Amino acid sequence: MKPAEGELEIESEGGVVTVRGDLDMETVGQLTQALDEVSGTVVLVLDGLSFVDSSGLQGILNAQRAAQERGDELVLRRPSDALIRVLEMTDLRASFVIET
Amino acid sequence: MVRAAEQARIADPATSFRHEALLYGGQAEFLVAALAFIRSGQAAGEDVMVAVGREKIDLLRGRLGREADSVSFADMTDVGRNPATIIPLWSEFLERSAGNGRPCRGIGEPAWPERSEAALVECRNHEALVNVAFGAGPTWCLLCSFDEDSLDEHVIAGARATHPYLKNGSGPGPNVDYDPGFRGWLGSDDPLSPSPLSRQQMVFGASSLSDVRSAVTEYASAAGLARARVADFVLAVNELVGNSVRHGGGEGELRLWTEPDTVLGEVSDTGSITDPLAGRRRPAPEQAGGRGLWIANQVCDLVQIRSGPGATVVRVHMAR
Repeated sequence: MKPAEGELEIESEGGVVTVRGDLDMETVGQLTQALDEVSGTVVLVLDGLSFVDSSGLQGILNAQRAAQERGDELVLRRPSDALIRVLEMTDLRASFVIET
Repeated sequence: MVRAAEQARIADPATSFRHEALLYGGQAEFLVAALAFIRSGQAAGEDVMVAVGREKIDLLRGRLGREADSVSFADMTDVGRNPATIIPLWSEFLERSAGNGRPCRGIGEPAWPERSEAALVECRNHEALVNVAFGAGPTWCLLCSFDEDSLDEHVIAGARATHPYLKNGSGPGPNVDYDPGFRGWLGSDDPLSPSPLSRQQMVFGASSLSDVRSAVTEYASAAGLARARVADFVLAVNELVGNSVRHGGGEGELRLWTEPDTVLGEVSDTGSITDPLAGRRRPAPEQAGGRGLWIANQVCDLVQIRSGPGATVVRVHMAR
């Protein structure tokens, strides 16, 4: 089930955070809020991320830094094509642990 | 016209960046000059990169034979299709060479007659910005070639205005037509062509990003852009809209229209971009924000910025 146009849907369970829909300036706050409540290594499941822009990317970067600051890691699991595209064009693909 | 004082400001060529223009008539003249330039560099142990069209690459490879192995070639019609991506191309080359502990030189040909008028204007802006990007930096030499036989006079005049050195028969000399005050689009009174009345137009604010994306998706699809290109176009416009919301006063206007071979999007707001190299520096991984224009430059065929106090317009072109 895809979220409605422009919306972001987050499911968080035991450090595995599934993100579906559009991650942009308007919705990135939801992701930040959801991740604030996660401790330990964070796995972001991202095959349902239909749209991500530089604001969304910054949200993911911030989440990675927050995890690393507390000695944990952030993993991108099955990043969508939209996310891979943005990661590659900003030279950030190599900065992340990516799981297929 | 460059007076004596300005001439003195063109710094000592032995210890700084040299931006030279080669105005040639015909492939043979280009070949002779380019080969001499390449071989000079190789003899001095320099890294050499050549970013020109396919035909010239093949000609040069043929002439250089085994010597071509140590030269990096890039197809300018591909890597430089959007002129705003050419400066980062050279920046990265410079960094790689410095990393190898070697000086370097390059040949680039960003302007060709088949380019659109708008793209040629941006080529000229790019050349002016090369001086801004590299003028105060490490020593290297960039030779830009222009075909005087096939390029319009105003393009050649633009080449003369943007290169501190001009290559001629007896070697490169200071160029009296160089205009050191020209910094591309920043502070220039060279407006964009007006958008047609047939355009689609909408205002936007912070809460309507997804509405904007839907409208752009619909428009671009109907205009015949392939699906992947629609996604890229939507991403670019979304970045510009996001910039307006974040930096340009919180709102703005989006216009969409088509030309025979192109879909265009233009975002206007009351903000002001003051960095002449905005969108032309590869974002650092640890950088907070500031990736929007870079992304637009990666995915679009042409990006044009015009900005002054209280008004910014960014126009993106996507070929159909």
